[in-house]
Amino acid sequence: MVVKIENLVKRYGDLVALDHFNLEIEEGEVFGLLGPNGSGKSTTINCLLALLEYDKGTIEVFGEEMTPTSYESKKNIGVIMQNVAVFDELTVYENIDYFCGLYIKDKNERKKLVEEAIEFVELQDYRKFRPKKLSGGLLRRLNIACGIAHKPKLIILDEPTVAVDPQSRNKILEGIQKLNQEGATVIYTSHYMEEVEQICTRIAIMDKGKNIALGTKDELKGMIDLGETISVEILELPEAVKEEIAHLPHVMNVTYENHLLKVRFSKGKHNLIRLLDVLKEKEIGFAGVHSELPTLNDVFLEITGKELRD
Amino acid sequence: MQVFKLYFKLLRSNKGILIMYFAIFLTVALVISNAQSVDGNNNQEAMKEEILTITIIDEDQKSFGNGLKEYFSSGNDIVDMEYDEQKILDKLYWRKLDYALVIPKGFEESLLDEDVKDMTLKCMKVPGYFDASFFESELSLYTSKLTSLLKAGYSVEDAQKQLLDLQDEQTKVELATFVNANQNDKSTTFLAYVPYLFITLGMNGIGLILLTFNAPLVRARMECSSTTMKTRIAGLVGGILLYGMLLMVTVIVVVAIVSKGRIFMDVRFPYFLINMFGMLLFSLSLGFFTGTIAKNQDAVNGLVNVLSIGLCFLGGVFVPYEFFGDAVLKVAKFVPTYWYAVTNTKIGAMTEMTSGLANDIFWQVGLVLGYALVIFSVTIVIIANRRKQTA
Ligand SMILES: Nc1ncnc2c1ncn2[C@@H]1O[C@H](COP(=O)(O)OP(=O)(O)O)[C@@H](O)[C@H]1O
Ligand SMILES: [Mg+2]
Repeated sequence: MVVKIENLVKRYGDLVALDHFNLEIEEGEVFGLLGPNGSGKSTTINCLLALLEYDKGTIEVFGEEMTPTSYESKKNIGVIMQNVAVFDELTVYENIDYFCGLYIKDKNERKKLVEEAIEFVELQDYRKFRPKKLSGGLLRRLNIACGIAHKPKLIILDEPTVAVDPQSRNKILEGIQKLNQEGATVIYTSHYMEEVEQICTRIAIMDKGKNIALGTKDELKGMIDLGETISVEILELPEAVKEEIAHLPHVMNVTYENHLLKVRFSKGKHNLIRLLDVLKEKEIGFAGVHSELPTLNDVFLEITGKELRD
Repeated sequence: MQVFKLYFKLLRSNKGILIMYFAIFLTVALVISNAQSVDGNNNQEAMKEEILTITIIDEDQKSFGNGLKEYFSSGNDIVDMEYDEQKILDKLYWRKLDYALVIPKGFEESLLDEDVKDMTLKCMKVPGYFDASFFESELSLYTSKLTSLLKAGYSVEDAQKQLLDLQDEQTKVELATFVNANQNDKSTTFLAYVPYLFITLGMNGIGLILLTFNAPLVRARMECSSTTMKTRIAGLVGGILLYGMLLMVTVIVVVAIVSKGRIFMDVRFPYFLINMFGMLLFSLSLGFFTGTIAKNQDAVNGLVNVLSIGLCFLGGVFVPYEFFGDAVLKVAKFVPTYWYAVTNTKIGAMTEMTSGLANDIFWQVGLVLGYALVIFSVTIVIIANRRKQTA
């Protein structure tokens, strides 16, 4: 067990940011913490790192209780915070070297590690740049390099892709998977379900400081009835036909807006055929047809009654 | 070591503002110390016309003392005082007195009797003060002429009468030579400005760096690391102390240049250093305080300007005390820069170390160190409280 959080309660005044939160993370996982803004992801991470004191509960990292002085555990943790944390006064190289140096005293070893980190985030051409001169994506990559240069066993990333262009984002996600393949356990928080689905082996969905669902993405999707959502482009749909569709087997709910018919089916067979048969029978012309499998947003929607992204 | 090195990297990135304050200090200190220092070629006549306030304390109580008083009473204001070193130094400091001369017991006898070892007149004066210097040159002329007359067989009374008669025929040649010998006092004037340098560079060079170092984001990252808090604090303290040493060395180098190297042979040098050291620690703790309470660079700049100028004006670094009213003086006594300035002047005036002066330096520097300690402790309390709140 790399991380074990039990019954964690954290209050900010009257606000309960974490409400009896539980979490267990095994070695080798890429663990995703998915939740909307304000659900308590960063608070969880800050408690986990002993940066914040909490009101109740226990936190263990590498089997030891985590406290501000758990320097042995800290040696093996790499942190990439939500906000870029580097010195504007230092160059790219100096920044990575400084933060790596907080873990690795040996100069030669550090030099090697810093070079590797620079290559890893592909900042070779920017060694002498100061952070102010870097674009958002490059800055995020520097932020990551500062957190991973010392080759930690546990890497914690709190929303590392906020305000990053799609290309840099993909690089970052690939990088995280690579670090995992090299043996690191990863904790990844995000409010983007696509990212979490893409890289995480296991996911906890958070809302209002609680862990509301836990599992692999398939397990999570299996928790809900929704099988697929089929959308069809139709120029005009009479109310009677919409009614008929609503009474087809497995149909959970039907909407028609902006010439787009959306039908949500629970798990079952022949949903598409039955739908298209109705349309043909009523001689309603249609264009594109799309079928979507459920997303984590659907899971979130079904459990909380609201969308992941507001 | 990482943090220690970081300190100097961050200093490097703030070098612009540090150099700027150094340049201001250097300009002001050099211009003014040059302007105020003794200049033998100008205004001899004008200087001569100044009336000096002199006290001659006659412990010998022989005719020599009376003759001397009579001789110098023309053109000068001779006042009677008790021999209280402290009071005399205070009066000198406030320029209520220009010169104090003590005739030690047995002085006349030492003039007359070849077998008795020569004694010297003891003097206390305001350093670099032209009028006092002028008096001193007259005095040395007077005693040397007197000795010659005594050797020629005159009695003390007769010799003094002779000299009184000759009073108008004074030469002005010795004056110039005397003035040159006194030029070291530029050092005292120059050193008076050191608080401005220490305060501005101490506050900037520590405040700005601590501000960056304690920015919440990078601090969180450091707190997550396996470098212990003790190590990090030790690195910072080491950086601050070395920076302080560099400031001190800089001043010493400049004073060495100003005094043309003579400062190193000067008996006053170690005492100047002690006084500066007190001011240095005060400034460092002020920088520590600034870096802790300031929210951003503008706040640091604001604090630097208000405190450096405020402390230097109130402490009498920029404005000589004779322009201060009593009310201002009362306030000034609560300002550590004032005690630096007082001590600097006293050290500047000394010719040899006396127990009274040593005592003064001890207490006054101690007072400045006390201020440093208070500011340091207050800052520590602020930090401790903040920890509790964020926790
Ligand atoms: N320092 C703080 N003081 C008061 N409330 C806070 C503080 N930090 C976070 N919160 C509140 O706690 C809740 C959880 O915040 P956070 O952990 O940052 O969520 P997330 O990272 O998931 O967006 C939010 O409602 C937020 O407003
Ligand atoms: Mg967050």
